[in-house]
Amino acid sequence: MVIKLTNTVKEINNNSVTFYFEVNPITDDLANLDYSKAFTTNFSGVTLTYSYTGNGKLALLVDYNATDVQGQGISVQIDTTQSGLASFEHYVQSSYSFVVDPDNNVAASPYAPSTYNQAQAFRWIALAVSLLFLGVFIISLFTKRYIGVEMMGVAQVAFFGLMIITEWEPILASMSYMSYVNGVNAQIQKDTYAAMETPSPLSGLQIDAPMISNFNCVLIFMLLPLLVALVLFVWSKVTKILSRQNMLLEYSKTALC
Amino acid sequence: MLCFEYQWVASFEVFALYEGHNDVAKLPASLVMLVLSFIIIVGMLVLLKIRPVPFGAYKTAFRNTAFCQNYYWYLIASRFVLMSIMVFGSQFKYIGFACMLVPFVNFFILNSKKPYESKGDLGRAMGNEAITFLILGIYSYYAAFVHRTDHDQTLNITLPYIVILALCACIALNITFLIKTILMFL
Repeated sequence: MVIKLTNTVKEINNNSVTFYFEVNPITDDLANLDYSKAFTTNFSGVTLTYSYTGNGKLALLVDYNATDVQGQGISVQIDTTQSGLASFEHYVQSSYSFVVDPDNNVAASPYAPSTYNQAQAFRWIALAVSLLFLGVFIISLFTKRYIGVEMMGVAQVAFFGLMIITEWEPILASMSYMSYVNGVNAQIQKDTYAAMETPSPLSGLQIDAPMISNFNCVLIFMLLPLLVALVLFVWSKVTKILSRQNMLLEYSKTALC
Repeated sequence: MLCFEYQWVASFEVFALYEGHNDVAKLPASLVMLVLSFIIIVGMLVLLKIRPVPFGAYKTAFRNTAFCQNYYWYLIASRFVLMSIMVFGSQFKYIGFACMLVPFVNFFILNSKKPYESKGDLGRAMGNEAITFLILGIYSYYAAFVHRTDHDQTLNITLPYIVILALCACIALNITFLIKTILMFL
């Protein structure tokens, strides 16, 4: 049996980290395998929970309370013959090594419960502030648009600036909940267990390599004023009332710019 | 369009740097998105120059000199530079200090060129640059000097709250001018 680490996610609310593996070859009996018997690791002072989610995807939840597992080199010995299942009897032993480095850029270090509580409150604060920014921006669209544009730039720097920090601690990680200041984009990922192609400070901000993953709904939002302007322009050409023609033309220009 | 510039630059540069063609289906769609958004952005920049009247306040709020009238070209370029430094340098520990140069230079350009017609607008824009500088300063300190296990020191716990307070100050600063404008309309 061969395994491959596809994603590492540090849970944001407690001292645990989940490792997602791809297991090969994929057989029906993988669901019946006792992974705690078949897998031996050099993790110490932690609790391991294996869960097979189907289609060759295995999740390993590691609960640590006092151990700093960030950056630790982990070796996994796989011996399925220990499982007692006939279909695995002829599998040869194998091993796999990896380093603990969560893809969501949150350090897998032990933090006090008070830190997690603060982080949880901070997430709500960050979310509220980002919504406040959006609200003020929407108001500015009807008055002085450049004020809104310049103000949003500050919030966007506060969000994107997080990419210069590696290994966020939970409170700082909560700042990433400000993503709404960049508009809304739909996550386009076939495999939800797979890590993004980008380094962890970027994937922690949900920035993936394909442009379509980061800039989809926003592009539609950008195209919307252009389409409205086009419709108004065509309408101004079709209508026969002169005053309406001029008014529609003016609205068309306003929508465009 | 201007509002999404940072997002566009980050998406474009990350696409250029890290696209590993792992998902072939996404590549043509990404290229179409890139070309389409590029056409919109360049089109707007050209229109801002050759058809300034419909842009309204983007032109009328600025003094009638060549630099001031094209201030938004400068702003767009500075945002492009800032995001490029972040994306290309995100792996370097001290890159935050290079990022801080951008709002620092912007602040002094605003102070020396005074592109806005109104002094209040100028103060607001300088306030925005000062807040950006402060936030990047805090992030730079974190990136360069704070180890993940030092999070519980008083200063390190306080800094994210200062970022939030700075953002609230930014909202207050800008909304004051918006309310003033609304009251003038009324």
